[in-house]
This record gives sequence, structure tokens and C-alpha cells, in this order.
Amino acid sequence: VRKGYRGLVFTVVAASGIALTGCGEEASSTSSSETTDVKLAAITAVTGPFGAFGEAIKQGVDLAVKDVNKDGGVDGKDLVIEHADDASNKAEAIAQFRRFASDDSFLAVIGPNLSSNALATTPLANQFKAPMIVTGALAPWSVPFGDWVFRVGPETSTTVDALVSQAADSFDFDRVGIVHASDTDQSVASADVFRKQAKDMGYTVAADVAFQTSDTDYSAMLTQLKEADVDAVFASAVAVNAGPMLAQAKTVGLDAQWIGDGGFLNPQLIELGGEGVEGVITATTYYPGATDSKSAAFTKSYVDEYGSEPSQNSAIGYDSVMMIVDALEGLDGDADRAALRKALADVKVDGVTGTFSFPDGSGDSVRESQTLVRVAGGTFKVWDGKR
Amino acid sequence: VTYLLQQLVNGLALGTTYALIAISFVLVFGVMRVLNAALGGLVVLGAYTAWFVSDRIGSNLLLAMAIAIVVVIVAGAIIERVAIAPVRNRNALAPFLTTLGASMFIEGLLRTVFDAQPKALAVDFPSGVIRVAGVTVGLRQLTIIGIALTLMLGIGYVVSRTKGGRQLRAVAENPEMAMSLAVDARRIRVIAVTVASALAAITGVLLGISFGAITPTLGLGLTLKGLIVLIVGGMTSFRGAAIVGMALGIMEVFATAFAPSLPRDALVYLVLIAVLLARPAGLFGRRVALAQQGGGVV
Repeated sequence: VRKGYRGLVFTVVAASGIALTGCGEEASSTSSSETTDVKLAAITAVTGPFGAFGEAIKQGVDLAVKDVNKDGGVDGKDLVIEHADDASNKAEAIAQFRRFASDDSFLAVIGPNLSSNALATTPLANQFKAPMIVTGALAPWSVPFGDWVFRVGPETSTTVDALVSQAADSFDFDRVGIVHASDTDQSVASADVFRKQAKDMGYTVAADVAFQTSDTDYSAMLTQLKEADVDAVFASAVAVNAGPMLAQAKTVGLDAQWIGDGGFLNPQLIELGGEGVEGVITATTYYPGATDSKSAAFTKSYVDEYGSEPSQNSAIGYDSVMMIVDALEGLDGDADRAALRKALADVKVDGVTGTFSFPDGSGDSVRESQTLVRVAGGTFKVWDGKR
Repeated sequence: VTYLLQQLVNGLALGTTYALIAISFVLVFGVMRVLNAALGGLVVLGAYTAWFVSDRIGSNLLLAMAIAIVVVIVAGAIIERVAIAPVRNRNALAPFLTTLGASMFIEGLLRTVFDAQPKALAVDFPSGVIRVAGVTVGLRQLTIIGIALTLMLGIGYVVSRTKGGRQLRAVAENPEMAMSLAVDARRIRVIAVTVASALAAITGVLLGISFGAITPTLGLGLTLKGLIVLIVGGMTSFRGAAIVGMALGIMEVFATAFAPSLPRDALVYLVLIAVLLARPAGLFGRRVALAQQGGGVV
């Protein structure tokens, strides 16, 4: 027993020695970065099944950091971002968030871009008192945002609401079909809103079908929709599924008006869907052809940097950084996490995704409008509501 | 009934491609007693080659397919030399693992040279629909089924009716005996590997057209499907591979169409497991041959 006790004492002493050294290093790095840089962290899923979104958001974030530093940084300090990849995995997202949140030198964390992962880190942000910006995670939030979490992207239901009500003015739908991905929270939530909307509008839901994000052959599902003789298909799907799906729809002879949620708004939809996506309607906060000066400048800057047109996700990533910078600029260089949180709650952003704010302690962005767009001639064009 | 027929066409379009992959497995397994797990990777390589050709040179189907076949035959031969020949006589699992590695190498290579984003394969191919007696059928699917069935019947004819086919079967049954009867077993193996690669390339192009988009990661799933069909079909039976492959595609489509709330894959594999329990050597397998040669592999 005595021997064991001595061993324990030794271990504790050694461990505290290591811990002390660790603290020392951390403290010194913090103080040096305080004088030179403003440090942020970002968690995205750039690998894993949804890697394309994470990558798009990361590119938007990086472009914003570059643009901010080109314009003299934040109060003369360079903006620095440290990226982590959660590999589309919840446990990894939590581990990465804990790492950033427990290190005060990161003023804010741009949180995981997948809904299930960002939901899991929302309580942690409040617990660690670390400001977290939610980017492309658009599912309804099943936990409170709390004081420390702010979502930039528009919640799924707001997009779907805008879509269905505008479409109802323009078309006489009778029978509609609903399509969603059964393995993503966001798509399941989006389909619920579609169902509710269809009911409110008095449509008959003639087919309600699901696929999985890993699927490549949609013919069985599409034939079901065709057999149900639907006038319209309300679809919640991301472009990598929706593009091939709509191309296949033509080959089984399904002829209906497709209305897609936010996942549709990606240049990949047109690349992969070809003629099959002509006429498809979706809603967005940003689209590559937008002509207001902010959006146009962003689009140009993005194309110069990456050689392709940005998606809504890149725009959301961009605005996430710009929103933090807006808040910091009101603080005259005297920023800690608590001060930043307070400033974020009052911020009104005029960004590339439009104007948004967080009124009355809301963690969810409130936006004035969303733009409806339609695929015409192989590009997204603003939809004027005509058939 | 018309709905059933439409779904049957969907199932056949998917199933005939599974069958073609499984037939490639049978060809290689038959003459070499090797499970070539690189075949799924070769299918994807074929699809990517066709995509590259259509993207850079032109959308001519025959041109894209011809170049894909050449590229995949070369890749298949390299894999045979590097990943199969050196380990073929060590133990039954070694070539399976080395070819699986080769398949992952192909996936990594495609991801590095291009990227992980899906690509749309756009080659000239019949499209549109025809209506026969109330049944609407996609021309694209009919053409795919037609090409696949023609290939299957052609291979069936060659294997069962021609001298080369008899030699192939002789090598498959008993290589020593075949050699003592002056059959060039080495030559037969080369032909089998080449034909398997060519089939993989054609399957890749057809799958790319059918799915509309291809990604580097498709290969592993296709290898798995091919292996399942191979095992359930009876390891060395061309007829087994063709019938079970088509049945798998039809079952997958029917599961989605008629039992959408149930987990599709679980349902389909439950049926296949039941088949194996009833007939451990596979639907068209011969117990003796399996026990002698391939038993250790499975």
C-alpha cells in the first residue's frame, strides 16, 4: 500500500509539473497573440459524406479573412483563423469544439456546418462561454441557442415557407409529391415543413418518398412519383443528390414542377442535372448572379480566388466572419469573449447574404427576405413568379 | 401491373449492371481461384475515363467506351502482374487483400487527379421515353438493358459453345489436367483477365450513364455487390452471376417501391442470407468444386 501511495504522489507531482509547464506555454502564446493577432477558430466537415459543403463554407471563411486583412485587418491587427475538420463526425466535432472553447485566445468559434454536429456543440458554447457562429446548419434547433450561439444561415422552414407560398400564387397544384433524405436531420425537418405547407395549401400529398444520401439510383422512387401523377415535387435534397435525381427523372418520364429547398442552390445542381433541372425553383439568401454591390464584389473575389462560382454555403461562411468583424470593430480593440458576445447580439449585418440581425436575444438570424430563383438556360436566375 | 412493369425495368437496368460485374468476378475466379477485389475500382476507372474523354474530346459514346476499355485493360493487366501474380499461390486471402488495396489506390488516384466531387457523364445515348401498352419506359434504361443482355448472352455462347470456352472451362475445373491436354493455361488466364477488365469498363460507362453522376468512392460498394452476387450465384457459374445479379437489382428496386418504410439493404440481404442457408454452395454452385478449390476463400 505504501509503495502504491508513494507512486501516486509521484504521479500527481509529475502531472502537475507538466500541467504547469503547459499553462506557462499557453499563457505566453496568448499574450503574444493578443498584441498582434485576432484569433478565430472554425470547424467544418471537409471530409466525410458531406465534404462538399464543409469545403464550400471553409472557402468562404478563408476568403473573408483574406479580404479583411487586405483592408487593414481588425483595428490594425491581423485576423487569423485556425481550421479543424470534424470529418462529418459528431464526436470529432465535440472534441474539436472543446479544444477551441477551452482556449481563451480564440475569441469565437465558427461552429460545425452540419446540423447534428452544431446542435451537439450548442450547449458546450454556452457552458464554456465561447461565442459560436452557426453557418450552414439549417435544421430547426431542438436545444436553446442560449446567449452564446448565433446562426447566420436561414432556418429551413423560412426557406420552405417562402418557396411554397410564392409557388402557390403562380401554379395550380393539386397533387404533390414530397422527397427527402431519410438520413439527414435537416432534410427530415424540411420535409415536415413541406408536408405542413402542402396541407395548409390544400394539396393532396400523393407520394411521400425518401432516399439516402449515399444512393445513386433513384429510379424506383421517381417511378413512384410518376405513378402518383403529381403536378409538383417538393424536394429536400443537396445538389449532389438532386442533380443526378432530376437527370434520372427525365429518363423515367416524370414530368412535374420541382421545388427544392436550400440544398438545391449550388452550381453543382446544374452541372450534374443538365437539362433535367431546367425550370426548377428554389430559394436563397445569395446567388451567383446577384447584382447588389456587396454580392457582386464577393462573387468576383471568390471567382478570382477559386476559379468557380460560389454557392450559398460559401456566402454564409463569408458572412459569418464578416459578422464577427463588424461586432469587433465596435469594440475599439478591447475585445474579450464577453464583450464580443454582447456586440454580436446587437449587430446588424449588411452582408453578401442580405441583411440580418438577432433582435430581442434571438440566436437565430432574422432576415428581411429571401430571393426565389429558377434554373433557366443552364443558370440560376431570379424568379419573377411567372410560370 | 403497368407500375410493376415500370419498376421491373428499373430493377433490370440496375440488375444487369450488377450481373456484368459479377460475371467479371466469375471469369477471374473461374480460371485463377482469385477474388479480384480491384474490379469495382476498374469499373469506376472505366467510368472516369469515359467522362474524361467526353469532357475533353467529344461526347461520342463509342469513342468514350473504346478508350475506357483500353485504359481499363491496361490497368487490369498491371494489377494482375503487381497485385495478383506475386501472391496468388501464398494463401487464398492474400490476393483478395492486395486487389482491394489496388482498388483503393485507383480511388485515391482519381480523387487526387480530379477531386472528390461528382462528375456528370454526358455521352451520346438514347434518351426520352416510349409508351408501350400503357407502360412508360425510358429509352436510356432499355438501351442499357439491351447492351448488358447482349454481352451476357455473347459470353454465355462463347463459354458454352466454342473451343476457347471449353478450354476456359477445362482450366477452371482442373488446370493440371487441362495443361496435360495441351491447353495453354497461361494464355487462357490472360484472356479471362482481359475480358473481365473490358466488361468492367463497359459496366462503368453504363453505370455512369444510368446514374447520371460518378464519384471515386463508387468502387467499394460495387465490389461488395459483385462479390455477393458471385457467392450467392455459386462462385463459378456464369448463369448464376447473371440471374442473381438481375435479381439483386430487382429486389433493391422493389424494396424501395413496395416497402419504402423498411430498411432496404437489410431486407435484400436477409433474402440472400436465406438463400445461402438453404444452398450453401450458392444457387448454381457445385458443392464439390467449391469445397475443393474455393472453399477456403469464402
